[in-house]
Amino acid sequence: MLARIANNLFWMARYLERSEHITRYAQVHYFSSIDAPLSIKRESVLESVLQMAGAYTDYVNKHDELEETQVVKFIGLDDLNPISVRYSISRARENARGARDSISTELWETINTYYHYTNSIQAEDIAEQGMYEYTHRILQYSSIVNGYIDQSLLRDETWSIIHLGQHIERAVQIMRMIVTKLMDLNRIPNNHWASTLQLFEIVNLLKSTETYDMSKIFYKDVPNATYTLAFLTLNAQCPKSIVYNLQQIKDCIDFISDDKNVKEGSLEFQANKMLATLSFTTIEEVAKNPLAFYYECLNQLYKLSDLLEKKYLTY
Amino acid sequence: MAVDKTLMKRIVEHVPLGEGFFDEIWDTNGKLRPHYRKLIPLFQEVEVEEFRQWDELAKITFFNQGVTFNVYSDKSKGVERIFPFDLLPRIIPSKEWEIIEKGIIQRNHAINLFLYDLYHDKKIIRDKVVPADLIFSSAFYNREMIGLTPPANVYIHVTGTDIIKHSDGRYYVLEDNLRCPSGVSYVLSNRDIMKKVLHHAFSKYHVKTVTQYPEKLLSTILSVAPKGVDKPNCVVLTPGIYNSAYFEHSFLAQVMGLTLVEGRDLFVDKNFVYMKTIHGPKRVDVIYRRIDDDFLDPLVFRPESVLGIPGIMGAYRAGNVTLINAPGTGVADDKAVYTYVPEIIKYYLDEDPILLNVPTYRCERADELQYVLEHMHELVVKPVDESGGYGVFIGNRKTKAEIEEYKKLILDNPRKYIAQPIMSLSVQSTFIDNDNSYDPRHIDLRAFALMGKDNTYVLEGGLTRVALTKGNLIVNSSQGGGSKDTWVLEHE
Amino acid sequence: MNEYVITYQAQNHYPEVVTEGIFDFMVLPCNDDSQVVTATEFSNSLEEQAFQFKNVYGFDVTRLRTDKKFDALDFSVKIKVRKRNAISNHTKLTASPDEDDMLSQPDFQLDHHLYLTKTTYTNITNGHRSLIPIKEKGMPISTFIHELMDHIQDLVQYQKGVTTVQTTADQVLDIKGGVCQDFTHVFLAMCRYNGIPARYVSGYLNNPHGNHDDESMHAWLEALIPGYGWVGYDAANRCKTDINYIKVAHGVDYRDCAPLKGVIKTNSLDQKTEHNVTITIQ
Repeated sequence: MLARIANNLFWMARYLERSEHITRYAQVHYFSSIDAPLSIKRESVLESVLQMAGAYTDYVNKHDELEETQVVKFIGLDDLNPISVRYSISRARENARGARDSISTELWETINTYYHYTNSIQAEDIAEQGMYEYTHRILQYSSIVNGYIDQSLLRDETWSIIHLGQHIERAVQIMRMIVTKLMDLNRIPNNHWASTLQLFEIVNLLKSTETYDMSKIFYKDVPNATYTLAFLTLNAQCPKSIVYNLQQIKDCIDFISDDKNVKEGSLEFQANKMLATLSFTTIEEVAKNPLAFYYECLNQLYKLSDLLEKKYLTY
Repeated sequence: MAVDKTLMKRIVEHVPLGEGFFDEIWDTNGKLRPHYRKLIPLFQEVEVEEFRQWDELAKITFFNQGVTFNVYSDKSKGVERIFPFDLLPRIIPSKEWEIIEKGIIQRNHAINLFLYDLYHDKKIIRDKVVPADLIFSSAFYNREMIGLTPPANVYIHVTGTDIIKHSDGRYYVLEDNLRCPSGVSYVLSNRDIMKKVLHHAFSKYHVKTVTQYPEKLLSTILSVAPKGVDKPNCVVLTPGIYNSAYFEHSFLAQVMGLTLVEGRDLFVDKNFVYMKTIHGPKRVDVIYRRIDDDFLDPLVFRPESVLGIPGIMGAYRAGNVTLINAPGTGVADDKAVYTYVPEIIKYYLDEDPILLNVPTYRCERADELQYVLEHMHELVVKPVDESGGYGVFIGNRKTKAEIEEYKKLILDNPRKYIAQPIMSLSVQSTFIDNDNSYDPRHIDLRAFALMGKDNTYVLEGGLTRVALTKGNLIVNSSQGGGSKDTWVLEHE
Repeated sequence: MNEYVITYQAQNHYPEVVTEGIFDFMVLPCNDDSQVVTATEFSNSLEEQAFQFKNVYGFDVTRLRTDKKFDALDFSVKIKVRKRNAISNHTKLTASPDEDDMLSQPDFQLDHHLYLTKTTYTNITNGHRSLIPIKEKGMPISTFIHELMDHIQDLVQYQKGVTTVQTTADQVLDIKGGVCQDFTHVFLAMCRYNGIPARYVSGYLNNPHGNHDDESMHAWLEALIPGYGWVGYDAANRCKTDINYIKVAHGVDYRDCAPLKGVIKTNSLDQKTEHNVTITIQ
């Protein structure tokens, strides 16, 4: 497989995954804020969405106030904002186009149709059809794309590279959501509303990661912060958990790798080490200083991604 | 209440045309030609709304498949358009097709021998059949090809011959495209979409298939791999996703199962070509390249080219990689050389050309000069050494004074001028969006052929191109042309 | 017979790091009737193995390819050549009486078409056509060529820094100045215009008399004189070539003989190349 094609596919997958998570986070927060407890301000919800997407500073630099339609425009429709859904999908599609002959017709046509949808939708359309229709369409396209990735591709290096992109980005986005939520939780004033508000934020996190139902089946209990973090971080059965994604990352790297002896500092070493370390981490250790834990974890993941790019994706 | 269909406006009707037009569907008495008798009623029974639905389905399918071209502006994104496609197919009866097919094979065979000769002994020039100046002054005469023999002596593996039907009802070759002819992917996509939208029409005819083209192209590519290579690694080389024919490049790579590469994916080391894979370099044996000669090797041709592969000509000359088509084939498809193709066929094959060339009068010959001077009003006169339409004189659009003026120019330097009759492309009905109905438009045909080690193949169909503007004779897609599916019939 | 030791050195400097590069050097003297290369020794700062192959005219190209990262590249080659005079200096070329006839033979023209056809470098357009002398019928070609060289000296001053490797014959006639390759392009154009096959030659000039000579390589031409074959003439120095001219390659113009061509992958367009050539007699 050409290194350039590998690079295209890797970034195609990352962009697709990225817009899915940002969209879901925005969707969940938008709808939960409609009937949120009174003390939850609309602005802080918008801020949370921007923070999670990594677009808060950019937004503030360009706009005077936190305002719903502006935020939707910025995150959904801005051609120039590199985290916007429209931008991400257009990059994903350009990357897919450059690797058109390596992927299935079904996958290509879905990405292409997806692109034409995000590219044609305007702020007025969203105003008219409502946020649900817009975000739902995007999430639907994402599911179809993921379906075709799993159903229409040979389990070869092509698939492994795409999967690597998906799982690295998924782990990154889940951690970004956790970190943003931890900050939201920290801001809750210590009054008698606190537990209501905490529950509100935790449910938002579970819904944003598409794990609300899974976690209920697993715990059969009222959600709390500790079990939510444990579920999203250490549960090997949960397809959104960090450890699950690291396992996938390691498996894909093992599949692609032709290195027999794994040297310290190599990509293979880094993947194995991250997975092993996390597998032997307890939720108590995480809970000691959760923010520091996730920041470190993110750094390790960025390092892994760098190693991957250097080894396989440079041409 | 039943609708009286006879009162409905039909979308396709016979439109009587003046003299000098050849209508593909109706004869001069307004009667359907035999091979359209089963097709046209299908279009006449349908209501505009339903037809619009067919049309919409076809358009959406093209769009979602990405069969589009980009119109880029200074904004970061381009506007995407599909090539206009018309649902009424052009039908070619099997007897007529036989002539086209045989004619193309004969023509390409002769041209391939001609190219070999030009880069070796140059017998045809020594025998004064083709003038030396014409060849050596051509920008496409490629010095790197001198004395080089490509595998199996094949230069023109992939060709696209532009053919028209004149008002006399006969086929004429307008141009031989011997470099990187494009359009074949549209033939395949058009057919694919026609089968989805107009499946009921196919049941009335035995239409020859076009779907085997990818396999035929692949076997052509494999047949000319360098000697001693067991399992050749073949690739398709594209200038990249911003090239207007990128869809075709990726399409062909995909249907053949070959890797689609850009110049930056390849490099040359010790006269072998490699591609940069995730596991390091992998040797490349055959390159179906869709970039022009000039851009192939910045060390030999245009130094500023970033599309090519520096050093590739050395590898090619050493026989370590095969290029499809061979470099330097453009010398045989320019306007001036075209006029010699009948002589070229005669010279190498000792046969009369099967397909007609547009007759050419060379003013350097006294008798032909006389004819030209007497028939200026019905001829196109062109200088042989100008390209891009410069100095072209179209007789029927000129005044008497202008004709006299131009005659002087010819008499000053008769050697410089050739003349051809004004050709009239046949017309076929084409759906015109704004009128909500069909109207005759000029069409031509690009026929695609392959030449490998022991095989020649002419794709049984081809790209029928339509000039969408009324009266326009230019069918190029860059000039707003559209296309139609082309049905070659199995038997009469 | 002379034995020369030639060293050719090229030093390239790049402002930004280069991640991939390919370089073609045409710096090795060829073997022909008058010269034999007896030893060659390459070295380069990247310690890449040099690869040799022949170009379309049969001359050696030395190629260096690397995917190591670098911002400087030194390449050098040391060559020993034995050289004798092709045609003795004292021999006067006597013209065969049918010279003109030969030049006008279609087969002759066809056999030498490469060296009779104008190229971008060797084209003289209408504006300068009147500057081209026309050989009179019966005048010996060698006499005409000497007259041509005198004529070119009147049109072009030897001057460094006024032209580049892209300058065409037409432009040289505008600038009225240039270096050896510019003289050669004008000279080629005028020979070819008169139907005399002429080819561009690059090589080394052992320069004991302090003649015009560029720092790196020299350029002259070879004209085809019926009965004698290809004879070398140096328009920049207005002379027939001799034992001091060591030929590397010939071609239709500079582009076929450029001593160094390269394609690199880097972020900056700037680069600096210094060539250094030394010739000593052993």
